[in-house]
Amino acid sequence: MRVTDLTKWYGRKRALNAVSFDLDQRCTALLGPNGAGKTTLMKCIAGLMSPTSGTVDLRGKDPVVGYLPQQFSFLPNLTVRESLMYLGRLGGIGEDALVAQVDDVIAKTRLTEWADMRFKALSGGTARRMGIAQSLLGPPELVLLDEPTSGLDIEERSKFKDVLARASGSHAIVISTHLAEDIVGLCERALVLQLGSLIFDGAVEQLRAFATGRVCLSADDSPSAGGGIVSGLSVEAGSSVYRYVMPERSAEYTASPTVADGYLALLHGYSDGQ
Amino acid sequence: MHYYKKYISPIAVSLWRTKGIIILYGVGAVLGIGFFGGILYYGGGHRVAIWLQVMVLITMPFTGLILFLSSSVVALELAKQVFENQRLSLFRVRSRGEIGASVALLVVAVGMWMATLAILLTVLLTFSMIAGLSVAETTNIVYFTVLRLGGATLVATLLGLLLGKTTSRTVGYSVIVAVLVFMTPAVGSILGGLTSASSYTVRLVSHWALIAPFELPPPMVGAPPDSMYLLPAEPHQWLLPAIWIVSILVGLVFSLRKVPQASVLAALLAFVLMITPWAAYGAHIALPRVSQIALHDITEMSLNIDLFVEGASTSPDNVEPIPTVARYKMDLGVCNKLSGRVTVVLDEPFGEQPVFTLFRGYRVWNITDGEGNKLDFSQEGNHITILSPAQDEAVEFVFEYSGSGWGNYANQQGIFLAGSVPWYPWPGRQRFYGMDFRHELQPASHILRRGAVEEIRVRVRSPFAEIHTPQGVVLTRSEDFVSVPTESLTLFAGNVRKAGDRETFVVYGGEATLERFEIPEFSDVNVVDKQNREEILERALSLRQLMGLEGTEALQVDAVVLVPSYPAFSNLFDFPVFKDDYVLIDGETVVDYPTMFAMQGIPQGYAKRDVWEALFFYLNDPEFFLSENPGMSSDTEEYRRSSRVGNMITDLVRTRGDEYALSQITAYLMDESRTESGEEFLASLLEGGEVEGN
Repeated sequence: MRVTDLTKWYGRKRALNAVSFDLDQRCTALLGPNGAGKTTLMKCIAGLMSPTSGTVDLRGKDPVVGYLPQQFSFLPNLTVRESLMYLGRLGGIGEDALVAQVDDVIAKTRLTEWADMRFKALSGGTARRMGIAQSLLGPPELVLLDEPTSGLDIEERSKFKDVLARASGSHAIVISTHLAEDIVGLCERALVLQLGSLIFDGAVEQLRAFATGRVCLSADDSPSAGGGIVSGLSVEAGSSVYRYVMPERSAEYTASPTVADGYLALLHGYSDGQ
Repeated sequence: MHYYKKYISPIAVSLWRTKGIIILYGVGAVLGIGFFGGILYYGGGHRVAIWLQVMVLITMPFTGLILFLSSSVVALELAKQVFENQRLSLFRVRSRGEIGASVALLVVAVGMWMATLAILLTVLLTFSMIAGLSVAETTNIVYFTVLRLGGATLVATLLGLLLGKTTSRTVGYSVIVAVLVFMTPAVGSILGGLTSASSYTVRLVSHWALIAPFELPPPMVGAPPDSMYLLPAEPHQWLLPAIWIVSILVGLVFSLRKVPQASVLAALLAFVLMITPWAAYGAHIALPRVSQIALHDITEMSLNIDLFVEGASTSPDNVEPIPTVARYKMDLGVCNKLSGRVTVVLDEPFGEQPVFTLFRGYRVWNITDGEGNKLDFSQEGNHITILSPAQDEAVEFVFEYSGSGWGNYANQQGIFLAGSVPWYPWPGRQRFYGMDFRHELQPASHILRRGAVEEIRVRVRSPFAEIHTPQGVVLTRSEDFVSVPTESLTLFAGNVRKAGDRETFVVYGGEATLERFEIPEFSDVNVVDKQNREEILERALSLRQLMGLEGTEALQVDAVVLVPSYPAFSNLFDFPVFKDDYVLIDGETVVDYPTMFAMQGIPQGYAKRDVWEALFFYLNDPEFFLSENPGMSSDTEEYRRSSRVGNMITDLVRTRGDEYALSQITAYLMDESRTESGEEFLASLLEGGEVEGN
């Protein structure tokens, strides 16, 4: 699957700028700050939106694409199972295979307990898992998940990662998010969009490496030297400890970098020499 | 079944489980249908056909308003539930998923619309049966209901779906509210008051109101019974809703996939089409007159509104003289439309440009004189002007015309030709319906003068069941025409009586109508009882003799059609009983003066008619006459609404006494050599002058 020179204009605003990349069977993270063009790119790949120029070649006449929109909701008075059966039928799944597939995705997304509950009664995280479940029906050759963790609490995000881990392997998955930590342990590859342009395409570990030697911990909430950026805050022994990503590398900065640190370093141009 | 299971069932199930939508739909249905049913229950409870029909017409605009609102809102919310937010993308990423869901939504919404209509019709039919409506009447109001309420709610449903799928709630509800505001009687009244809209724009609005009933049209309050029957359903009545529905459906189709702009444009187009009549009305767009563009684009309401707007002379004293007809010869084909070849022979020449009155639903194709010479003419509204009579003294004219009448029809139940509408050319420029409820207009009472008709030949389309005319002529399946001479009043009008082998019974309006009908002022009159009718006619004849008129011809009992004109409204709205061309007589009182005049051969344009009328009024009830005609020196409301002649008679009676006044007036009326007007005559009496010849 290949995306070539994808450009999208909204009037005078350019949302995507000649974005090109290949997709493989790995789980790919699409990172970027709000407004970077992630949702536009996902919609273009899903066929929900026509690009201004460029192509999306999914290498198949009518490939099955699973899509989880940024704000997922469905008919509020259908149960989870009914909804999945309905969407499965609309997706062209034969009646013979449908029940088995629905059972399978319900199990994969740990929704068995909620299978006969109406959609409107589900919590946000459970509803999102149902969203993932419907995106896995088909089975799809490509799964696009747009901001699947937004609005979820820590526990739900943990469950979500577990669900995706179980689902991955048999599909090409693209997860769009602005929270880099969500992809840790889940995706091997990351794409980073900034202002519509693709500024990074590589392994997640490469992304983390941008922050190597740049992370320091300090109780000072306004480090004067170097103009570092805050990437985290923790409280130790009653005191606040700030986590900084510094512009320059230093042997003094010994804290282990995270993917989020690397992502921040990349967005702020601290990637010299890497 | 597979399609149902795949696409429709889940949406239907989801909607069924959605309490909000069901409650919304239920409340709308209960309010709309409940209002409709409640009013009909009131009308049906009287077991009077005309009551029920009046109730249907009155309640329809309000029912339509409620159902339009509820249907559009329910449909909008239905669409929102299925497609709101990013749910649409879930359908779109699946092969034909959006089309399937859209069609399913459409099927569910249309199903709800059909359920609403079915309930409405069930209510309507139930009360129709209770009220004893005939098949023709029932068919009429069912058709009417489907056309108005059905059309309006279907448009509302589809519009709601389109708005719900393609726009935000704010925009959707704004459009619905805007449409409703433009449709309300208030806006129409304001626009109508601010502008002097042309008759065509008013008519355009009327057409629109016929389809989407959000206006309470004035003629519906006080329309004559004729207009309640078999309203013509012309193609134009379907045209506008058809355009709306098609434009909305086009919008729904465009809304599939990625052309949202086109669907919004289609929604806007539908909206603009809906408010166009009002816009034209408000802008006073000078559109062509109806006679030049579409003679068949006529409705009973536009007719009345047009009369209202044109504002012609409304004083009985200003009626143009109308020539009398020596002979009519009619050859009519009657079905849903009427075609006619009518020969009119006048008593005397008409003048250079004779004018005839013919309901404008009929298009005149040809007019010739008695020698077959083709005559130029113009048809404008309800009037035909002969532009080039072969000779000034022409008295014979042959009209060929066809078109839609005002409720004319023929079916297995009888032939109905509205007595108060000129379905044949009336001589002169006549107004045949007034609507100011103050008796200022010359009431329509052009009844065929005794002996004026030589022959009426009515052809109806075969095969019909037997048709029995009031004259006792039976039209069987083997014949396709009835040809009868007439000597009586109105040949076919109102509730036609059917003559059986031995006994007679009412075929139009239903027996229950007449059996249960109570004339407010004369509740003890049993209009079905034949003996009673004979007594009534005897009374009429004695009155005729009282007036000094010669002739002893007995009127055929079976030819008299008793149709209460307005009493149904009297109690409701306190409208006066309108004078019409029907006989309403009880044992003591004659209340229908024009008919009495017609019976006695007094032509409409007769100069002494106003004195005749006032005299009848006085003889019927002197006390009431004097209260309604307080005298020339009065400045009361009664004076302003009464005739000058009536007030002069009051002054005469008060100053000279009853006996003197009546003797002088009778002498004046009987003396054909007296040519001065009634006012001149009375003025001379009041001034103390002696009456000539006495």
